[in-house]
Amino acid sequence: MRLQLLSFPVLISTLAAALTMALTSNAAFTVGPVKAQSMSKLTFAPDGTLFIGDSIGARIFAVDLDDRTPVNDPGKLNVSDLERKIGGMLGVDARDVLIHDMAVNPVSKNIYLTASRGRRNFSLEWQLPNDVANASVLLRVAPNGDIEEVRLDSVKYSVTDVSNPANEAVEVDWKKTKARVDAISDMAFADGKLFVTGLSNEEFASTMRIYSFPFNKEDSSTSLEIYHGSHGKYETDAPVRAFLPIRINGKPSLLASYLCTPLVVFSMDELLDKKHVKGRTIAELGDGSYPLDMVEFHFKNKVYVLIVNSTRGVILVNEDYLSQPLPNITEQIEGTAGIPFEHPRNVGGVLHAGNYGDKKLVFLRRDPFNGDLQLVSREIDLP
Amino acid sequence: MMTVSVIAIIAAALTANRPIITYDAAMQIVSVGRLGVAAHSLDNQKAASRALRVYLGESQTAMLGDYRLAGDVLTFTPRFALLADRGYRVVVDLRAVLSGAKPVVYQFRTRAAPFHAKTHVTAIFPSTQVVPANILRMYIFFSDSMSRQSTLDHIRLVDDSGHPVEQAFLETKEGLWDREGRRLTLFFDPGRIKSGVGLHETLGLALKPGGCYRLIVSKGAVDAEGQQLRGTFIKKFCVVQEDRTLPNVQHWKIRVPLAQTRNALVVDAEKPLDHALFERLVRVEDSHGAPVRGTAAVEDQDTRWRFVPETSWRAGEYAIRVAGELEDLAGNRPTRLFEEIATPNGRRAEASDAVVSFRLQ
Repeated sequence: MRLQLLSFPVLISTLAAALTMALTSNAAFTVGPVKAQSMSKLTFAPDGTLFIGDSIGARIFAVDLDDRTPVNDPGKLNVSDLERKIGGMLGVDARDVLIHDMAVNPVSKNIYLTASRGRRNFSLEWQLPNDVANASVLLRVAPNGDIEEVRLDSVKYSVTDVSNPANEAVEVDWKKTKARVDAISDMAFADGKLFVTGLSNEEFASTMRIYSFPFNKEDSSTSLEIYHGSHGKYETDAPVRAFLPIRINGKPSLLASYLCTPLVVFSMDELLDKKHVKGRTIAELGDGSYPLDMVEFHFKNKVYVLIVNSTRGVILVNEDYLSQPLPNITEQIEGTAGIPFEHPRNVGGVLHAGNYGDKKLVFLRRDPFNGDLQLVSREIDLP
Repeated sequence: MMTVSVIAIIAAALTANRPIITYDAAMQIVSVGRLGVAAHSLDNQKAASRALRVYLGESQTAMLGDYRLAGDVLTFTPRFALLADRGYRVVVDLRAVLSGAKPVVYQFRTRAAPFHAKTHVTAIFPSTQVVPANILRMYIFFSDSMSRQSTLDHIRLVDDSGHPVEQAFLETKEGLWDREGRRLTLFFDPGRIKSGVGLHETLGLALKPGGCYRLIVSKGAVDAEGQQLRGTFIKKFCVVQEDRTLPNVQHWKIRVPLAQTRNALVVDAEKPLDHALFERLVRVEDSHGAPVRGTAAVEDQDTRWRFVPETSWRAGEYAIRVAGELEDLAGNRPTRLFEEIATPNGRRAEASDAVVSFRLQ
C-alpha cells in the first residue's frame, strides 16, 4: 500500500506563478518547502512578500504566498480568546500557546502570527518568546477573524544566509538564553531593501544588516554603538529590539529602540558595509522595559511613531519633535529624558502592533481583566 | 508502512456503509477507512482537512496535521504529539463530497501512561562518587527538553536511611535551566556552606562528612511534551571533608600530542572540577595567543580535559589558558577560595586567568 502525501490545489497556481516570475524579474525564487528552524521574526514588503527571519538557522526566507488581493479599509477586527483557538490547532491547552511575532500584509490586511507550544518554558522574567522556544507554526488571521495555518511545505520562496551570526555556544548569562536567538532581532523593509538588526559573532555584536531584494549574495553589515543614558555608558553588545525606517528632517534614517530603553537615530547614509557607527540617543523611555514593536501612523494630519513597550504601555512620539533639533544624550540620566512622548487613551496590554489600513492599527493585546489574548483593530485616540 | 495488525481499532463501523474510524495509539495516527467513492474527492489537504477533523477536548478548532490518502483510507498525523491522558474527538464529515452523508463523531482517550516515554536523565555531575561536604552545585542532564515548572518537585536528596535532607538546595521558583531545558543546575544553599552565615551556624552543612546520600530524580517529572520520564534516576555519592584548597593549574599533567597529527591533548587536573565550567573555561592558544579551534570534552570523573583540534597541530609553542572563573566542586577558583578571607581593606582577591605553556615537537 503506497502512501501518498497530498498536495495543495494552490500548488498548481503557485507553479504557474513561479514560471511567470522566472520569465520576468525574479529568477531566485523556487518552489519547495521553507525549512526554518525558528520563525523568529516576520515583516512584509509593500507588495505582500513575507520575510521570515530564522535566527537559529541564520537564514532569511522571502516567501510569496500569493496573498495580494487588496483590502484597503478592513472592517473592525475583534478576535477574542486567541490562545484557546490556536491551542486547539497546536493540540494543547490555551496556557501552553506562545505567540512569537506578528506582521500585517499591507496588501490583503491578513495578519500573520508565528506560534509555538513553548509558553511553559519561561523561567526568568526577562526572557522573550524566542529565548524559550522556537516558533514552528505560521498562522494567518483574515480580516473576518478566521484563523488558518499557512503551510510552508510547498511555497514560492527565495532564501539568503545571515553571515557571521552570533555563535550558537554563546550564553547570555543574566537571562539564561543563547545569543543566537537574537541573530535576527527585528526586520523592516524600506526603499527596496530589507533591514535586519541582530547579534553577530564580532567583538561589537550589535549589527544592522542591509539586503538588496531580490536577494543577491552579499549583504552589508554595520556594527552599531549607542550611548545608553540609564546605564551611563556606551554599548555595542545589546541588539536593537525594534526599529523603524523613517525620514528625519528629510533624511532617510533609522529610529531604533533598545532594552532599558534608549531611542536612537542612525543616519541611513552612514550604514555602510563593515563600518562601525555611533547613533544619536534622542530619548530614554524609562529603564526596566523592553520595546516590542514600532510603527509609524497618521492621525489628524500628523505623523506619529508608536512604540509598544513591555511595562510602560503604548508610547507615542509626535514626529514634530523629530523635525526639531534633536537631543543628544551623552550623560547618565535617571528615569526618562530626551524628546517628549505621550500615551493613547484607548489601548493597553499591547504586545504587538501593526498598520491596518490608513486609519487603523491592529494590536495583539492581553486584556487586563480576563487575561484574554486578543487581536483588535483601533483608531488611536489621543488625549 | 502501517499494517492492519498494529492498528488498535477503538472505534468501529457503525453501519456497514459507514466509514471506519480508527486510532493507532502506537503511531498516534487517526484513520478513516471504507470511504468508497468519497475518497476520490479527498486527494488534497484542504478537502481532507474538512472531511476529517481531530479536536483536543472541547476545543472548537481542529488540530493541525498532515493528511494522506491510500486507497479509500484517509490518515491524519498530528503536527505535534498527542498529550497523555486526554480526550480527543474525531469528526468525519463527508457532506462536502457526498450528498446525504451524515457527520460521524467518535471519541478516544490517550493512555495515562506515556506511550513514548523517551526523555531520561543522561547524567548527573559531578560524576565522581566522592564529593566534599562543601560541594557547591550539581548538574542534571536530560535527553530532551523538560517542563520547567514542576521538575523540582520530583527531585529529592535523601541520606543513608532514606530521610530527606531539608533545605539542601537554594530555593528558586523553577530552578536554573539552560535555554533548551535540558540542563538543570542545583545549587547547594551557600548560606549553609559559608562559615559565619546564619544557616551554616543553625543548620550546619547539608551534607555530613562520612555520610552517603542519594539524589533521586523520579519518573513523575514531565518533559516539555507533558510525558513522564522513562524511569527514576538515582545518583549515589558519599561525602568527605570540606575542600578548602585552590585548584592548582601548575600541578596539572599535560599529555602533549605530536605535531602534524590531530591527536588529543589530554590535561589531567589534580582533583575533580565543576563539569560545565571545566568544559567551557579551558582553551588552547597558539603562540600568538589566538584560540585553537577544536572540540573539548570532560572525562574521568571530571578530572580530565580532552581536546581534539579541528586541524593538525603544528610544531612550536602553545599554551593552555584557564579562565579565572574555573571552579572545583566546592567553588574554589585557581586564584581564589570560595571562602576567601578578606584582606584588611575588605577586598577579595580577584579571580584571574592561569596560563601553562607547552611545546609540540
